Amino acid sequence: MERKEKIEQDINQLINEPLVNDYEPSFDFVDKVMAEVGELENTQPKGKMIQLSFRIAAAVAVIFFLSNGLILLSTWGNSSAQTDVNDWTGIYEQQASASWYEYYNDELFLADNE
Amino acid sequence: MTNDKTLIEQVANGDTKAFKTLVERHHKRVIHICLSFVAVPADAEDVAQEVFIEVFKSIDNYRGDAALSTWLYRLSVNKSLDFIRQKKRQKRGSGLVQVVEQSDLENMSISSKQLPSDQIEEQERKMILHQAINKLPERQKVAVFLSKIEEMAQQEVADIMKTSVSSVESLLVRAKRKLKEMLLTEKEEMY
Repeated sequence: MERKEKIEQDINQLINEPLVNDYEPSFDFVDKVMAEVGELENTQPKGKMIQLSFRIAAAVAVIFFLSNGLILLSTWGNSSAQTDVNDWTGIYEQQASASWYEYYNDELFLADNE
Repeated sequence: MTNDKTLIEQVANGDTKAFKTLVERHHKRVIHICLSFVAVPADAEDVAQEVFIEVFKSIDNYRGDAALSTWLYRLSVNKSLDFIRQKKRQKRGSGLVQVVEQSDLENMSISSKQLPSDQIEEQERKMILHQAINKLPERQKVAVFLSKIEEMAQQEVADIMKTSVSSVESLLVRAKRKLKEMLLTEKEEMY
């Protein structure tokens, strides 16, 4: 029983004491970080230019697709309007009873006058 | 003394000297956090270096809604956990599962004291504790490691973990209970 209490006490102490207390970092840690930062700075402008050119290319591609889409839509609209016109002229060309030149029919004109 | 916020603005405007001041101000604490997790000083310094490089790269994204130290310490925790996961994967690949192996004991300098024989025992005790903490669920593990950093208030731990103080407290209670169970079994086996 006493042994178990001692073990528990030992464990409590172990759990509660700090794990890292007096570790001193290497003297050149800050210099190492700054050296890496320097390297990064030298490479970053290139990276920024690449990023910028990618963005421009993406914007151009979007504009290209949008304008193509608009052109396609407008040509489709025009062609459907054209078919509508064709349908209307078709009615007159068929000489159907509803055709316009019935009104210019001479016989009909005369009959009316009579 | 210039405050962190002003220094960050200066860094964002391309002033690397300001960044050096930030590193000098915070590096010790960041290394201590990393060391708590990874246990090997050389690895801890590598992880801490990664933390500062990440900060430098993403300084423009810092919104300033949390203190710089909180952001830094959160990054340190995440990078350390990534490191542990990576190491675990590597060891699993080579057939070894424990994160801290017996072979790491020589490199493991959680305290920087020289190692006369009486201190070897203390190191060993700490290694056993470290291994036990590593077996805890991730959030409990983070709470325990952070609360073991000197002068780290529970509010700070809660901020780093993006949770409340009461959640941290309950995580710690559960973690300590589990640790006790694990260590008791281990000790009883040793005696």
